[in-house]
Amino acid sequence: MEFFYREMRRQHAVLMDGGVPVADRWNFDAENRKRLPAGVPVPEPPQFQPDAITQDVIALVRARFGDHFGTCDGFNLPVTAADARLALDDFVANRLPQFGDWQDAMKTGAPTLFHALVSTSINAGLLDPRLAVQAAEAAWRAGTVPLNAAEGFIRQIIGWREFVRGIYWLKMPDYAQLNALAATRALPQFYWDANTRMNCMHHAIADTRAHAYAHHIQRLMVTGNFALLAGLDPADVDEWYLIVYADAYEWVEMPNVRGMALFGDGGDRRVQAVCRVRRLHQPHERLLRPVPLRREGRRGERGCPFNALYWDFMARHAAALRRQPAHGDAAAHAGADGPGPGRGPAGTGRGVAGGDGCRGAGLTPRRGRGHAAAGAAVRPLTRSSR
Amino acid sequence: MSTLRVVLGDQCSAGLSALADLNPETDTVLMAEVLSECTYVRHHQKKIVLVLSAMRHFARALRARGVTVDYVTLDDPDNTQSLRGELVRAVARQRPARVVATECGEWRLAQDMNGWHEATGLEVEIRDDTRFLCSIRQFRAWAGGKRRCGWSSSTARCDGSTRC
Repeated sequence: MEFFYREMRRQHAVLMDGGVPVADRWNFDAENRKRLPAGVPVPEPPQFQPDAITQDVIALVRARFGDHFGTCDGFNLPVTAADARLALDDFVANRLPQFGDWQDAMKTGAPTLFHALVSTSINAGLLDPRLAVQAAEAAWRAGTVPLNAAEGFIRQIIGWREFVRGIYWLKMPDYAQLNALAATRALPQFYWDANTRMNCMHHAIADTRAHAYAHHIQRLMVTGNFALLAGLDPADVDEWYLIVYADAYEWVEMPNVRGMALFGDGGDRRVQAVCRVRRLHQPHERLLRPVPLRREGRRGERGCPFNALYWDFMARHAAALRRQPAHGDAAAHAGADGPGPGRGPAGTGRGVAGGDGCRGAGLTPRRGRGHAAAGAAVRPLTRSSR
Repeated sequence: MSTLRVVLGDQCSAGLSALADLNPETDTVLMAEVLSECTYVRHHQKKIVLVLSAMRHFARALRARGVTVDYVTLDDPDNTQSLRGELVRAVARQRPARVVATECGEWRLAQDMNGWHEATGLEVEIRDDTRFLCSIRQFRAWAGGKRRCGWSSSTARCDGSTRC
Protein backbone atom coordinates (compact mmCIF):
# COMPACT_ATOMS: atom_id res chain seq x y z
CA MET A 1 0.00 0.00 0.00
CA GLU A 2 2.73 2.44 1.01
CA PHE A 3 4.39 2.20 -2.39
CA PHE A 4 1.14 2.62 -4.23
CA TYR A 5 0.44 5.65 -2.06
CA ARG A 6 3.82 7.21 -2.86
CA GLU A 7 3.18 6.61 -6.53
CA MET A 8 -0.13 8.44 -6.24
CA ARG A 9 1.49 11.31 -4.35
CA ARG A 10 4.09 11.68 -7.10
CA GLN A 11 1.69 11.27 -9.98
CA HIS A 12 -0.83 13.76 -8.68
CA ALA A 13 1.69 16.12 -7.09
CA VAL A 14 0.09 15.92 -3.64
CA LEU A 15 2.17 17.14 -0.67
CA MET A 16 5.26 17.20 -2.87
CA ASP A 17 8.11 19.65 -3.25
CA GLY A 18 9.18 18.78 -6.74
CA GLY A 19 10.26 15.15 -6.66
CA VAL A 20 10.43 14.77 -2.88
CA PRO A 21 7.69 14.60 -0.26
CA VAL A 22 7.20 17.74 1.81
CA ALA A 23 9.29 17.73 4.99
CA ASP A 24 11.18 14.89 3.32
CA ARG A 25 8.83 12.27 4.80
CA TRP A 26 6.04 10.28 3.20
CA ASN A 27 4.16 9.06 6.21
CA PHE A 28 3.46 10.46 9.69
CA ASP A 29 1.40 7.54 10.94
CA ALA A 30 3.70 6.98 13.88
CA GLU A 31 2.61 10.35 15.27
CA ASN A 32 -1.08 9.63 14.84
CA ARG A 33 -1.67 7.19 17.64
CA LYS A 34 -2.03 9.30 20.73
CA ARG A 35 -4.44 8.66 23.54
CA LEU A 36 -7.24 11.14 23.86
CA PRO A 37 -6.63 13.00 27.13
CA ALA A 38 -9.62 13.65 29.38
CA GLY A 39 -11.26 17.02 28.91
CA VAL A 40 -10.36 17.60 25.27
CA PRO A 41 -13.51 19.11 23.79
CA VAL A 42 -14.73 17.27 20.71
CA PRO A 43 -16.14 19.74 18.16
CA GLU A 44 -19.74 19.09 17.17
CA PRO A 45 -19.96 18.21 13.46
CA PRO A 46 -22.56 20.08 11.37
CA GLN A 47 -26.02 18.54 11.08
CA PHE A 48 -27.92 18.62 7.81
CA GLN A 49 -31.62 18.68 8.60
CA PRO A 50 -33.82 16.79 6.12
CA ASP A 51 -35.51 19.03 3.55
CA ALA A 52 -38.86 18.19 1.91
CA ILE A 53 -37.24 15.80 -0.58
CA THR A 54 -35.41 13.90 2.15
CA GLN A 55 -38.53 13.83 4.32
CA ASP A 56 -40.43 12.19 1.45
CA VAL A 57 -37.68 9.61 1.11
CA ILE A 58 -37.67 8.96 4.85
CA ALA A 59 -41.42 8.27 4.72
CA LEU A 60 -40.86 5.94 1.77
CA VAL A 61 -38.04 4.06 3.48
CA ARG A 62 -40.02 3.71 6.71
CA ALA A 63 -42.95 2.28 4.76
CA ARG A 64 -40.99 -0.06 2.49
CA PHE A 65 -37.84 -0.90 4.46
CA GLY A 66 -38.87 -0.29 8.06
CA ASP A 67 -37.85 -3.85 8.93
CA HIS A 68 -34.26 -3.30 7.78
CA PHE A 69 -31.46 -2.78 10.30
CA GLY A 70 -31.21 0.65 11.91
CA THR A 71 -33.49 3.62 11.91
CA CYS A 72 -34.25 6.74 9.85
CA ASP A 73 -34.49 8.79 13.05
CA GLY A 74 -32.02 11.64 13.28
CA PHE A 75 -30.94 11.43 9.64
CA ASN A 76 -28.51 14.32 9.17
CA LEU A 77 -26.15 13.41 6.34
CA PRO A 78 -25.39 15.69 3.39
CA VAL A 79 -27.42 14.68 0.33
CA THR A 80 -26.23 17.40 -2.08
CA ALA A 81 -22.84 18.44 -3.41
CA ALA A 82 -23.23 21.83 -1.73
CA ASP A 83 -23.84 20.34 1.71
CA ALA A 84 -21.06 17.81 1.22
CA ARG A 85 -18.71 20.74 0.55
CA LEU A 86 -19.91 22.48 3.72
CA ALA A 87 -19.24 19.30 5.69
CA LEU A 88 -15.73 19.08 4.24
CA ASP A 89 -14.97 22.73 4.99
CA ASP A 90 -16.22 22.33 8.55
CA PHE A 91 -14.00 19.28 9.04
CA VAL A 92 -10.93 21.02 7.64
CA ALA A 93 -11.52 24.09 9.81
CA ASN A 94 -12.58 22.46 13.07
CA ARG A 95 -11.47 18.85 13.32
CA LEU A 96 -8.67 18.19 10.86
CA PRO A 97 -6.13 20.14 12.97
CA GLN A 98 -6.48 17.47 15.67
CA PHE A 99 -7.47 14.54 13.45
CA GLY A 100 -3.92 13.30 13.15
CA ASP A 101 -3.14 13.08 16.83
CA TRP A 102 -6.27 11.20 17.82
CA GLN A 103 -7.43 9.38 14.72
CA ASP A 104 -6.88 6.06 16.44
CA ALA A 105 -8.63 7.03 19.68
CA MET A 106 -11.98 5.80 20.93
CA LYS A 107 -14.31 7.43 23.40
CA THR A 108 -17.62 6.28 24.80
CA GLY A 109 -20.47 8.53 23.77
CA ALA A 110 -18.42 10.31 21.08
CA PRO A 111 -18.85 8.21 17.99
CA THR A 112 -17.49 10.76 15.55
CA LEU A 113 -14.58 12.36 17.48
CA PHE A 114 -12.25 14.15 15.07
CA HIS A 115 -13.14 12.05 12.06
CA ALA A 116 -13.98 13.63 8.73
CA LEU A 117 -17.44 12.14 8.13
CA VAL A 118 -16.97 12.69 4.41
CA SER A 119 -16.95 9.05 3.35
CA THR A 120 -20.71 8.86 2.76
CA SER A 121 -20.45 11.92 0.51
CA ILE A 122 -17.35 10.82 -1.41
CA ASN A 123 -18.60 7.28 -1.97
CA ALA A 124 -22.05 8.43 -3.15
CA GLY A 125 -20.42 10.88 -5.54
CA LEU A 126 -21.46 14.07 -3.75
CA LEU A 127 -17.89 15.10 -2.99
CA ASP A 128 -14.93 14.82 -5.37
CA PRO A 129 -12.04 13.15 -3.51
CA ARG A 130 -9.66 15.55 -5.28
CA LEU A 131 -11.44 18.47 -3.59
CA ALA A 132 -11.00 16.86 -0.19
CA VAL A 133 -7.30 16.30 -0.85
CA GLN A 134 -6.79 19.85 -2.12
CA ALA A 135 -8.62 21.33 0.87
CA ALA A 136 -6.44 19.42 3.34
CA GLU A 137 -3.19 20.31 1.56
CA ALA A 138 -4.22 23.96 1.24
CA ALA A 139 -4.98 24.12 4.97
CA TRP A 140 -1.53 22.73 5.76
CA ARG A 141 0.15 25.17 3.38
CA ALA A 142 -1.82 28.00 5.00
CA GLY A 143 -0.53 26.88 8.40
CA THR A 144 -3.88 26.03 9.96
CA VAL A 145 -3.38 22.27 9.99
CA PRO A 146 -0.28 20.31 11.04
CA LEU A 147 1.35 18.08 8.46
CA ASN A 148 0.72 14.81 10.30
CA ALA A 149 -3.02 15.53 10.21
CA ALA A 150 -3.16 16.61 6.57
CA GLU A 151 -0.97 13.70 5.46
CA GLY A 152 -2.97 11.15 7.48
CA PHE A 153 -6.25 12.31 5.97
CA ILE A 154 -4.85 12.50 2.44
CA ARG A 155 -3.36 9.02 2.76
CA GLN A 156 -6.80 7.60 3.53
CA ILE A 157 -8.16 9.10 0.32
CA ILE A 158 -5.50 8.79 -2.37
CA GLY A 159 -3.75 5.87 -0.71
CA TRP A 160 -6.08 3.51 1.07
CA ARG A 161 -9.33 4.33 -0.74
CA GLU A 162 -7.81 4.00 -4.20
CA PHE A 163 -5.82 0.94 -3.18
CA VAL A 164 -8.77 -1.08 -1.88
CA ARG A 165 -10.76 -0.24 -4.98
CA GLY A 166 -7.92 -1.48 -7.16
CA ILE A 167 -7.61 -4.67 -5.10
CA TYR A 168 -11.34 -5.33 -5.37
CA TRP A 169 -11.41 -5.22 -9.16
CA LEU A 170 -8.09 -7.01 -9.42
CA LYS A 171 -9.25 -9.96 -7.32
CA MET A 172 -12.96 -10.30 -8.03
CA PRO A 173 -14.84 -12.57 -8.37
CA ASP A 174 -12.62 -15.06 -6.53
CA TYR A 175 -12.10 -12.53 -3.78
CA ALA A 176 -15.62 -13.09 -2.46
CA GLN A 177 -14.78 -16.75 -1.78
CA LEU A 178 -11.48 -16.28 0.05
CA ASN A 179 -11.38 -17.63 3.56
CA ALA A 180 -7.72 -18.31 4.28
CA LEU A 181 -8.38 -19.14 7.93
CA ALA A 182 -11.37 -21.40 7.18
CA ALA A 183 -13.60 -19.44 9.55
CA THR A 184 -17.13 -20.83 9.69
CA ARG A 185 -18.91 -19.54 12.79
CA ALA A 186 -22.22 -17.81 12.02
CA LEU A 187 -22.53 -14.11 12.86
CA PRO A 188 -23.84 -13.83 16.44
CA GLN A 189 -27.19 -12.14 17.02
CA PHE A 190 -25.56 -9.35 19.04
CA TYR A 191 -24.10 -7.90 15.83
CA TRP A 192 -27.71 -6.85 15.16
CA ASP A 193 -29.15 -6.10 18.58
CA ALA A 194 -25.99 -4.91 20.42
CA ASN A 195 -27.09 -7.11 23.29
CA THR A 196 -23.70 -8.13 24.62
CA ARG A 197 -21.84 -7.53 27.85
CA MET A 198 -18.68 -6.65 25.96
CA ASN A 199 -18.75 -2.89 26.37
CA CYS A 200 -16.67 -1.98 23.32
CA MET A 201 -18.80 -4.23 21.11
CA HIS A 202 -22.02 -2.93 22.61
CA HIS A 203 -21.08 0.68 21.88
CA ALA A 204 -19.70 0.05 18.40
CA ILE A 205 -22.83 -1.84 17.36
CA ALA A 206 -25.30 0.50 19.06
CA ASP A 207 -23.60 3.52 17.42
CA THR A 208 -23.71 1.73 14.09
CA ARG A 209 -27.39 0.94 14.44
CA ALA A 210 -28.21 4.56 15.33
CA HIS A 211 -25.99 6.34 12.80
CA ALA A 212 -25.04 3.86 10.04
CA TYR A 213 -21.56 5.06 10.98
CA ALA A 214 -18.67 3.99 13.16
CA HIS A 215 -15.13 5.27 12.85
CA HIS A 216 -12.42 3.04 11.47
CA ILE A 217 -11.04 1.99 14.85
CA GLN A 218 -14.44 0.70 15.93
CA ARG A 219 -14.90 -1.06 12.61
CA LEU A 220 -11.46 -2.59 12.50
CA MET A 221 -10.35 -3.04 16.08
CA VAL A 222 -13.66 -3.83 17.74
CA THR A 223 -16.22 -5.52 15.49
CA GLY A 224 -13.58 -6.53 12.95
CA ASN A 225 -11.17 -7.98 15.48
CA PHE A 226 -13.90 -9.84 17.26
CA ALA A 227 -14.99 -11.36 13.94
CA LEU A 228 -11.43 -12.43 13.22
CA LEU A 229 -10.67 -13.85 16.65
CA ALA A 230 -14.01 -15.62 17.03
CA GLY A 231 -13.64 -17.18 13.58
CA LEU A 232 -16.81 -15.69 12.08
CA ASP A 233 -17.63 -16.69 8.52
CA PRO A 234 -16.26 -13.96 6.19
CA ALA A 235 -19.39 -14.14 4.03
CA ASP A 236 -21.54 -13.22 7.03
CA VAL A 237 -19.14 -10.51 8.12
CA ASP A 238 -18.94 -9.08 4.59
CA GLU A 239 -22.68 -8.84 4.38
CA TRP A 240 -22.93 -7.23 7.80
CA TYR A 241 -20.49 -4.44 6.92
CA LEU A 242 -22.17 -3.90 3.57
CA ILE A 243 -25.56 -3.58 5.26
CA VAL A 244 -24.79 -1.48 8.29
CA TYR A 245 -22.61 1.39 7.03
CA ALA A 246 -24.00 4.21 4.92
CA ASP A 247 -20.66 4.56 3.09
CA ALA A 248 -20.38 0.85 2.24
CA TYR A 249 -20.33 -0.38 -1.34
CA GLU A 250 -18.79 -3.71 -2.11
CA TRP A 251 -15.65 -2.26 -3.74
CA VAL A 252 -14.68 -0.59 -0.47
CA GLU A 253 -16.28 -2.97 2.01
CA MET A 254 -14.89 -6.28 0.81
CA PRO A 255 -11.15 -5.51 0.76
CA ASN A 256 -11.44 -3.83 4.14
CA VAL A 257 -13.27 -6.79 5.63
CA ARG A 258 -11.66 -9.76 3.91
CA GLY A 259 -8.22 -8.38 3.41
CA MET A 260 -7.81 -6.13 6.38
CA ALA A 261 -10.09 -7.32 9.15
CA LEU A 262 -10.42 -11.02 8.55
CA PHE A 263 -7.07 -11.97 7.05
CA GLY A 264 -9.22 -13.89 4.61
CA ASP A 265 -6.93 -13.28 1.67
CA GLY A 266 -3.89 -14.57 3.52
CA GLY A 267 -2.18 -11.22 3.05
CA ASP A 268 0.15 -9.73 5.60
CA ARG A 269 -1.70 -6.53 6.40
CA ARG A 270 -3.86 -8.18 9.01
CA VAL A 271 -0.93 -9.25 11.07
CA GLN A 272 -0.27 -5.80 12.39
CA ALA A 273 -3.86 -5.36 13.41
CA VAL A 274 -3.96 -8.61 15.33
CA CYS A 275 -0.91 -7.42 17.15
CA ARG A 276 -2.41 -4.10 17.93
CA VAL A 277 -5.56 -5.54 19.44
CA ARG A 278 -3.70 -6.23 22.62
CA ARG A 279 -2.69 -2.63 22.99
CA LEU A 280 -5.88 -1.04 21.74
CA HIS A 281 -8.25 -2.99 23.84
CA GLN A 282 -6.62 -1.92 27.06
CA PRO A 283 -6.47 1.80 27.59
CA HIS A 284 -9.23 3.18 25.44
CA GLU A 285 -11.12 5.38 27.78
CA ARG A 286 -12.14 2.41 29.83
CA LEU A 287 -14.38 1.05 27.16
CA LEU A 288 -13.09 -2.17 28.55
CA ARG A 289 -11.82 -2.72 32.02
CA PRO A 290 -8.05 -2.81 31.70
CA VAL A 291 -7.07 -6.42 31.93
CA PRO A 292 -3.54 -7.63 32.39
CA LEU A 293 -2.72 -9.51 29.26
CA ARG A 294 -0.32 -11.89 30.83
CA ARG A 295 -1.24 -15.45 30.15
CA GLU A 296 -2.77 -15.78 33.64
CA GLY A 297 -5.25 -13.08 32.71
CA ARG A 298 -6.51 -14.68 29.63
CA ARG A 299 -9.26 -16.72 31.21
CA GLY A 300 -11.72 -16.55 33.98
CA GLU A 301 -14.40 -14.46 35.54
CA ARG A 302 -12.90 -11.03 34.93
CA GLY A 303 -10.90 -11.61 31.81
CA CYS A 304 -11.77 -9.61 28.74
CA PRO A 305 -13.11 -12.11 26.18
CA PHE A 306 -10.78 -10.57 23.63
CA ASN A 307 -7.88 -11.99 25.67
CA ALA A 308 -9.20 -15.52 25.62
CA LEU A 309 -10.24 -15.23 22.01
CA TYR A 310 -6.84 -13.82 21.11
CA TRP A 311 -4.97 -16.74 22.65
CA ASP A 312 -7.46 -19.19 21.22
CA PHE A 313 -6.93 -17.65 17.81
CA MET A 314 -3.17 -17.83 18.18
CA ALA A 315 -3.40 -21.47 19.18
CA ARG A 316 -5.75 -22.38 16.37
CA HIS A 317 -3.50 -20.76 13.82
CA ALA A 318 -0.15 -21.24 15.50
CA ALA A 319 1.42 -23.06 12.61
CA ALA A 320 0.58 -20.35 10.11
CA LEU A 321 1.26 -17.44 12.42
CA ARG A 322 4.60 -18.71 13.60
CA ARG A 323 5.94 -17.82 10.20
CA GLN A 324 4.86 -14.21 10.67
CA PRO A 325 7.66 -12.21 12.26
CA ALA A 326 5.22 -10.15 14.31
CA HIS A 327 3.53 -13.19 15.79
CA GLY A 328 6.05 -15.94 16.03
CA ASP A 329 6.56 -15.59 19.77
CA ALA A 330 2.91 -15.32 20.68
CA ALA A 331 1.95 -18.19 18.43
CA ALA A 332 4.64 -20.38 19.90
CA HIS A 333 3.52 -19.37 23.38
CA ALA A 334 -0.11 -20.15 22.69
CA GLY A 335 0.72 -23.43 21.08
CA ALA A 336 3.02 -24.44 23.92
CA ASP A 337 0.12 -25.79 25.93
CA GLY A 338 0.46 -28.80 23.76
CA PRO A 339 -1.84 -31.77 23.70
CA GLY A 340 -4.05 -32.24 26.69
CA PRO A 341 -7.65 -32.80 27.66
CA GLY A 342 -9.72 -30.89 25.19
CA ARG A 343 -6.68 -29.16 23.84
CA GLY A 344 -5.03 -29.62 20.56
CA PRO A 345 -1.42 -29.55 19.58
CA ALA A 346 -0.44 -26.37 17.85
CA GLY A 347 -1.74 -26.11 14.37
CA THR A 348 -4.47 -28.71 14.58
CA GLY A 349 -7.15 -26.07 14.65
CA ARG A 350 -8.20 -26.84 18.24
CA GLY A 351 -7.54 -23.94 20.53
CA VAL A 352 -6.61 -23.65 24.16
CA ALA A 353 -8.97 -21.02 25.45
CA GLY A 354 -12.01 -21.24 23.25
CA GLY A 355 -14.35 -22.41 25.93
CA ASP A 356 -13.89 -19.51 28.30
CA GLY A 357 -13.56 -16.91 25.62
CA CYS A 358 -16.66 -18.12 23.87
CA ARG A 359 -18.76 -17.96 26.99
CA GLY A 360 -17.50 -14.56 28.03
CA ALA A 361 -18.19 -13.30 24.55
CA GLY A 362 -21.69 -14.73 24.51
CA LEU A 363 -20.80 -17.30 21.87
CA THR A 364 -21.59 -20.95 21.78
CA PRO A 365 -18.37 -22.79 22.46
CA ARG A 366 -17.15 -24.82 19.56
CA ARG A 367 -16.84 -27.88 21.76
CA GLY A 368 -17.81 -28.96 25.25
CA ARG A 369 -15.23 -28.15 27.90
CA GLY A 370 -15.19 -28.24 31.68
CA HIS A 371 -16.19 -25.24 33.71
CA ALA A 372 -18.21 -22.34 32.48
CA ALA A 373 -16.26 -19.24 33.35
CA ALA A 374 -18.77 -16.65 32.34
CA GLY A 375 -18.22 -13.00 33.00
CA ALA A 376 -15.39 -11.05 31.51
CA ALA A 377 -17.50 -8.19 30.28
CA VAL A 378 -18.17 -4.99 32.12
CA ARG A 379 -21.75 -4.03 31.43
CA PRO A 380 -24.52 -5.68 33.39
CA LEU A 381 -26.56 -6.48 30.33
CA THR A 382 -28.39 -9.69 29.80
CA ARG A 383 -26.61 -12.24 27.73
CA SER A 384 -27.06 -12.35 24.03
CA SER A 385 -30.19 -14.15 23.02
CA ARG A 386 -28.05 -16.60 21.13
CA MET B 1 -26.80 11.16 -31.84
CA SER B 2 -29.42 10.86 -29.12
CA THR B 3 -27.91 9.22 -26.07
CA LEU B 4 -29.46 7.72 -22.97
CA ARG B 5 -27.09 8.35 -20.07
CA VAL B 6 -27.50 6.12 -17.05
CA VAL B 7 -26.67 7.51 -13.60
CA LEU B 8 -26.56 5.05 -10.69
CA GLY B 9 -27.29 5.82 -7.06
CA ASP B 10 -23.66 6.29 -6.05
CA GLN B 11 -22.90 8.36 -9.15
CA CYS B 12 -24.49 11.67 -8.12
CA SER B 13 -21.55 13.66 -9.48
CA ALA B 14 -21.71 16.63 -11.85
CA GLY B 15 -18.37 15.54 -13.30
CA LEU B 16 -19.43 11.91 -13.93
CA SER B 17 -17.79 10.48 -17.04
CA ALA B 18 -21.15 9.30 -18.40
CA LEU B 19 -22.28 12.94 -18.47
CA ALA B 20 -19.07 14.41 -19.90
CA ASP B 21 -20.28 15.13 -23.44
CA LEU B 22 -23.96 15.45 -22.64
CA ASN B 23 -26.00 17.38 -25.18
CA PRO B 24 -29.15 18.73 -23.51
CA GLU B 25 -30.83 19.06 -26.94
CA THR B 26 -30.67 15.37 -27.76
CA ASP B 27 -29.81 13.40 -24.63
CA THR B 28 -31.73 12.05 -21.68
CA VAL B 29 -30.44 11.01 -18.27
CA LEU B 30 -31.99 7.88 -16.77
CA MET B 31 -32.14 7.52 -13.00
CA ALA B 32 -34.16 4.70 -11.46
CA GLU B 33 -34.93 3.77 -7.87
CA VAL B 34 -35.28 -0.01 -7.92
CA LEU B 35 -36.11 -2.54 -5.25
CA SER B 36 -33.37 -4.95 -6.31
CA GLU B 37 -30.68 -2.41 -5.36
CA CYS B 38 -32.38 -1.64 -2.02
CA THR B 39 -32.76 -5.26 -0.98
CA TYR B 40 -29.97 -7.44 -2.46
CA VAL B 41 -28.71 -7.02 1.06
CA ARG B 42 -30.96 -5.48 3.69
CA HIS B 43 -29.21 -2.11 3.82
CA HIS B 44 -29.44 0.10 6.91
CA GLN B 45 -32.43 2.42 6.60
CA LYS B 46 -30.26 5.54 6.72
CA LYS B 47 -28.14 4.20 3.86
CA ILE B 48 -31.21 3.86 1.64
CA VAL B 49 -32.38 7.35 2.64
CA LEU B 50 -28.95 8.74 1.74
CA VAL B 51 -28.81 7.18 -1.71
CA LEU B 52 -32.42 7.82 -2.76
CA SER B 53 -32.37 11.38 -1.45
CA ALA B 54 -29.03 12.07 -3.14
CA MET B 55 -30.50 10.73 -6.40
CA ARG B 56 -33.59 12.95 -6.18
CA HIS B 57 -31.51 16.03 -5.36
CA PHE B 58 -29.11 15.25 -8.19
CA ALA B 59 -31.97 14.86 -10.66
CA ARG B 60 -33.27 18.24 -9.55
CA ALA B 61 -29.83 19.81 -10.04
CA LEU B 62 -29.54 18.33 -13.54
CA ARG B 63 -33.00 19.61 -14.51
CA ALA B 64 -32.02 23.05 -13.24
CA ARG B 65 -29.17 22.89 -15.77
CA GLY B 66 -31.67 22.18 -18.53
CA VAL B 67 -31.00 18.45 -18.73
CA THR B 68 -33.91 16.09 -19.43
CA VAL B 69 -34.06 13.50 -16.65
CA ASP B 70 -36.17 10.37 -16.97
CA TYR B 71 -36.58 9.57 -13.28
CA VAL B 72 -38.35 6.44 -12.08
CA THR B 73 -39.42 6.42 -8.44
CA LEU B 74 -39.64 3.29 -6.32
CA ASP B 75 -43.41 3.66 -6.01
CA ASP B 76 -44.03 3.99 -9.76
CA PRO B 77 -46.56 1.20 -10.47
CA ASP B 78 -44.83 0.35 -13.77
CA ASN B 79 -41.39 0.08 -12.15
CA THR B 80 -39.89 -3.32 -12.95
CA GLN B 81 -37.70 -2.87 -9.83
CA SER B 82 -34.48 -3.88 -11.60
CA LEU B 83 -31.95 -1.62 -13.33
CA ARG B 84 -31.95 -3.68 -16.47
CA GLY B 85 -35.75 -3.68 -16.60
CA GLU B 86 -35.85 0.09 -16.19
CA LEU B 87 -33.18 0.56 -18.85
CA VAL B 88 -35.21 -1.51 -21.31
CA ARG B 89 -38.36 0.47 -20.54
CA ALA B 90 -36.51 3.79 -20.86
CA VAL B 91 -35.07 2.74 -24.23
CA ALA B 92 -38.63 2.06 -25.41
CA ARG B 93 -39.75 5.50 -24.18
CA GLN B 94 -36.78 7.55 -25.36
CA ARG B 95 -35.65 5.65 -28.47
CA PRO B 96 -32.01 6.63 -28.04
CA ALA B 97 -29.35 5.69 -30.57
CA ARG B 98 -27.00 4.48 -27.85
CA VAL B 99 -26.52 4.10 -24.10
CA VAL B 100 -23.66 5.57 -22.08
CA ALA B 101 -22.88 4.65 -18.47
CA THR B 102 -20.02 4.85 -15.98
CA GLU B 103 -18.60 1.65 -14.52
CA CYS B 104 -20.23 0.71 -11.23
CA GLY B 105 -18.79 -0.18 -7.82
CA GLU B 106 -19.92 -3.78 -7.39
CA TRP B 107 -19.09 -6.94 -9.30
CA ARG B 108 -22.65 -8.32 -9.39
CA LEU B 109 -23.90 -5.12 -11.05
CA ALA B 110 -20.96 -5.00 -13.44
CA GLN B 111 -21.96 -8.48 -14.64
CA ASP B 112 -25.49 -7.23 -15.18
CA MET B 113 -24.27 -4.18 -17.10
CA ASN B 114 -22.33 -6.47 -19.43
CA GLY B 115 -25.72 -7.78 -20.53
CA TRP B 116 -27.22 -4.36 -21.25
CA HIS B 117 -26.18 -4.42 -24.88
CA GLU B 118 -27.99 -7.68 -25.45
CA ALA B 119 -31.03 -6.51 -23.49
CA THR B 120 -31.42 -3.25 -25.43
CA GLY B 121 -29.95 -4.10 -28.83
CA LEU B 122 -28.06 -0.82 -28.62
CA GLU B 123 -24.43 0.15 -28.40
CA VAL B 124 -23.66 0.44 -24.67
CA GLU B 125 -20.55 2.37 -23.78
CA ILE B 126 -19.33 1.86 -20.20
CA ARG B 127 -16.78 4.49 -19.29
CA ASP B 128 -14.06 4.53 -16.65
CA ASP B 129 -15.10 6.03 -13.33
CA THR B 130 -12.79 9.03 -13.46
CA ARG B 131 -13.80 10.13 -9.98
CA PHE B 132 -11.11 7.72 -8.83
CA LEU B 133 -7.59 9.00 -9.34
CA CYS B 134 -6.28 5.58 -10.31
CA SER B 135 -8.07 3.71 -13.08
CA ILE B 136 -8.63 -0.02 -12.80
CA ARG B 137 -6.31 -0.50 -15.77
CA GLN B 138 -3.59 1.59 -14.16
CA PHE B 139 -3.90 -0.31 -10.88
CA ARG B 140 -3.71 -3.62 -12.69
CA ALA B 141 -0.52 -2.50 -14.42
CA TRP B 142 0.95 -1.31 -11.13
CA ALA B 143 0.00 -4.55 -9.33
CA GLY B 144 1.27 -6.64 -12.23
CA GLY B 145 4.73 -5.26 -11.61
CA LYS B 146 4.66 -6.57 -8.04
CA ARG B 147 5.23 -10.17 -7.17
CA ARG B 148 3.18 -9.84 -4.03
CA CYS B 149 0.94 -6.89 -3.64
CA GLY B 150 1.55 -6.11 0.00
CA TRP B 151 -0.99 -4.74 2.42
CA SER B 152 1.77 -3.49 4.63
CA SER B 153 1.35 0.18 5.36
CA SER B 154 4.80 1.16 6.40
CA THR B 155 8.20 0.75 4.90
CA ALA B 156 9.49 -0.56 8.19
CA ARG B 157 7.51 -3.73 7.64
CA CYS B 158 8.92 -4.46 4.24
CA ASP B 159 10.84 -7.68 4.70
CA GLY B 160 12.64 -7.50 1.40
CA SER B 161 10.75 -10.46 -0.04
CA THR B 162 8.57 -8.15 -2.11
CA ARG B 163 9.72 -6.28 -5.11
CA CYS B 164 7.96 -3.10 -4.07
